[in-house]
Amino acid sequence: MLWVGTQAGGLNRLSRPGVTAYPVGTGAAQGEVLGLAECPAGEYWAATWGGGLHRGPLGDMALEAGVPELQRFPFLRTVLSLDHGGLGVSGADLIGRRDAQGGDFNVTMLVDAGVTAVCEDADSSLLFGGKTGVLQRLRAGTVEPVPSGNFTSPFMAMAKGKQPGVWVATHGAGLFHWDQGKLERWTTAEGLPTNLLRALHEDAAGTLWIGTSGGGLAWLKDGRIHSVDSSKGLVNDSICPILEDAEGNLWLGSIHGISRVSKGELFDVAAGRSGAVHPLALDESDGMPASECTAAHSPAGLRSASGLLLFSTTRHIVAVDPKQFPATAGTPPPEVRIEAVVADRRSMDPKAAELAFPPGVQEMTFEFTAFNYLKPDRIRFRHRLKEADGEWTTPSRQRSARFSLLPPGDYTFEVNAANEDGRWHETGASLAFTVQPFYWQTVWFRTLAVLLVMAGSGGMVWKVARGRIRHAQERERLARAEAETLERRHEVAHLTRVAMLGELSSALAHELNQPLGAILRNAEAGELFMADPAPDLDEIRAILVDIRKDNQRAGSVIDRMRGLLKRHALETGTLSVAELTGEVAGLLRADAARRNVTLEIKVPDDLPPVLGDRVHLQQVLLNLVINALDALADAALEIRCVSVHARLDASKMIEVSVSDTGPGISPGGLAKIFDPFFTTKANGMGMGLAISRTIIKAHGGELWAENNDGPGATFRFTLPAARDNAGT
Amino acid sequence: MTSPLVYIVDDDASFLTATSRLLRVSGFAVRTFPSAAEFLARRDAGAPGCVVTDLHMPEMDGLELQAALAETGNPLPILFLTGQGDIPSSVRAMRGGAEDFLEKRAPKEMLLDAVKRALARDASDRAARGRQRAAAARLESLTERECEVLGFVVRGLLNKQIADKLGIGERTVKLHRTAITTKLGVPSVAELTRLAQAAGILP
Repeated sequence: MLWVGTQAGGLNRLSRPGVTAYPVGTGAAQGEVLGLAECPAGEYWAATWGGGLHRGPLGDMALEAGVPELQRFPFLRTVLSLDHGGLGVSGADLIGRRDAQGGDFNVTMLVDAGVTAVCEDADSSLLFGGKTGVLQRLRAGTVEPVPSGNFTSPFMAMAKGKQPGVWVATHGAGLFHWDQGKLERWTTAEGLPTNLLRALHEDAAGTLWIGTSGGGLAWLKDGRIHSVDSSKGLVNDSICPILEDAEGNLWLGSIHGISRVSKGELFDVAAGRSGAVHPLALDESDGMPASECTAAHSPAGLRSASGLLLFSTTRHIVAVDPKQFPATAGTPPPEVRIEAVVADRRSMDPKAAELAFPPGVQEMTFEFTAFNYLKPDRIRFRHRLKEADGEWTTPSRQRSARFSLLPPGDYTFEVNAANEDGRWHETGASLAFTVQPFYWQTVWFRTLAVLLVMAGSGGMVWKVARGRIRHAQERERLARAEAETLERRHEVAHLTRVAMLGELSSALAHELNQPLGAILRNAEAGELFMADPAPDLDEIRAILVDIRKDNQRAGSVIDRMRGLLKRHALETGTLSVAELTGEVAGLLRADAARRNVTLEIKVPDDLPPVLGDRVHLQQVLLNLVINALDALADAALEIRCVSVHARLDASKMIEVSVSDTGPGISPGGLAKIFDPFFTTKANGMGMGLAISRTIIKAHGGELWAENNDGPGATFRFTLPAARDNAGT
Repeated sequence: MTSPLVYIVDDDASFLTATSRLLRVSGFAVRTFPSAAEFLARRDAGAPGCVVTDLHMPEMDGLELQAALAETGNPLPILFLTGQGDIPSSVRAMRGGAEDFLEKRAPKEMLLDAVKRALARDASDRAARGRQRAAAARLESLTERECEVLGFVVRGLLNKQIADKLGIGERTVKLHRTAITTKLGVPSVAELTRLAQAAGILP
């Protein structure tokens, strides 16, 4: 048998810098790669589960066919390079060794041993253990028991260190150090995050690194155990194997790929000097054939003589060249640049001094990138909209962000990028922008409305006061003043209606959007129907009919709005209370639904009509119901209800009540709510109720408020019944 | 395999008809429902597809529909339509796994793209669920006791521990293990674990 040592034969075939996968075995000889060894330099050995033992240079490994036992019992877990060119191999049913290069294998068959870990003792005998949890020794082809060798839990890894003796990691009983019967043990009681251990590695400084199953990475240094897990930035909490590169960085295998972490960072986190480690993570996107390292046994990976780090995965050996992954600690994270902004498919200039989106913009997309010529695909981005929710998104490689239906306002879009080691750029990039409001959503519009109302009602109050002081002497002028007051009241009433319409705008928009949306869809569908060489004319006719109907529907919404907006002189007539409340409910139902409030209207059929002005009375009802809806903003969802009831009272007046289930009115508030400028709302003008009371008084009725016995408050107003029906 | 259906749910009859026309003429198979309750009662429970629903509806709204649908065995992707931007609802909808969130008057391209995306996602979700069912079907050949043993094996328990837990002999456990690997044709614990994961036995 001639073994030719080649110098890491596959290296010149690296298709991608840093990570190369070499297949092991084909067909029947294929098995899960579980153990790796190099002996001599450049000649690699792979123990596979079901596929026997393979050897050769990387990329050109072949089944080792010279040992009949390994052919018959191909379920192998470990292969180990021994001193003086020897090699140890073990598996489910056997353990064997060869003492020198070119020597023959001596295989000892075992019964149900399930060997998982092997180590060479100082006297060159092999110490091994497996699923039985018992340490045994193979000397001269015979298995011997060892003193204090029962560790009760399956072996997962063994390692030799500077001290005499061996380290044993078990799956359930923690960590042991065994030296010819002298036993020491570390468990969760001594600080291990878990007793389920997977991998061991003792470094040159004598620190023992321990890969656990679910508890992250632990280490034993100067007699104390420390650990770091994924909550501190580790890529995975189950680790096997642990390798070390020439720079002293640890490379950790896991079922989610391979990661590199610096010892210094681990020490810093354990000592509380730093909050997290910043591992470099490799996975399929870096050329791994599958992201999982099988790596359940020892040794499952190794650092080759040429400095490559080899990991076993299901069907491959993955070689990582650590030199291709220079530590990035000194290099700054990439700078992010926002490259393009698109609003509803229209490009905007991100460098514009003031980036403003038009009213009603539906969708905006921000495209960004960062520059890193070495590894552009490893940059991760996160972004946030500071004013909307303020949370950073989960880091991803996506280079764009999309937002839909942002309400009008000023925003700052922030984006940041991180290097492959998870270090974020200090500032990132940001872009302030504005979503412009429709005119009725603007501050100037609302301010103007408020100012006009204030001017109007201030004048009204003053006139009334002056009228009262001088009424004895100046009856005539009083009459004039009152006429003026009435004029102003109309003006104020009109302006409050305009302001109210602003509050209603979202509900009205919803109502308009239904027919407009239907018209749009119908028109789009119609166009597509027409594109057919033999268009379905019946369908197109039906579409046109529907478009006309929806147009009328949209028109009636606008008519209702205009009715409210029109400046208008008092027009008294007989009005049905049911119609009046129905119209108001129609305007507010969508708004109520949006606020999860049940709107309940109860008007008896036989209620006589009232005498009054439609628009003004609508305004009062709208005002009371909107107040009631506002009062429920913080109420529990189940009890949110506004009820509007009407009845004929004892003095033949018609009483309309608006009740809510909110917090009610404070005793101090109850006395003041009808005063001008008294408001409990952040955006209120405090005019609604004052004007409402004036309107009701002008109709010969009263408006008052009371707190309910249960939760909430009730506003009631009375109106005289129209004479022609009052007597019945 | 039945072709995927686009279910449209909207309480506004006119919008419902118009949207269904547009989707039909664009080549989708469409069914319409005037309310969420009716959709839940009358849809083809197992059929592939996606839902296009109004966010604000009386009685059961879009978000409640989303929650109800998530509890069924056939959680179709949902596309929400809304009259106007409503950030809290859209955040809730997206957290609940909404496919998309569109304004009612969004351009047709956006709607059609979104429906296509939703159907594609349904197809891939369905394939994933199919794989899970296939894995579960393989496990069905096991007896109850074998299933129990498998549950322990994939959690890494030793024969001895399994025997203790089940109150049976270690030898019997070994027999069960042999039966499991033979029936499933899976050689290693790693493969078994993968199968159990695919079948949803292991998290």
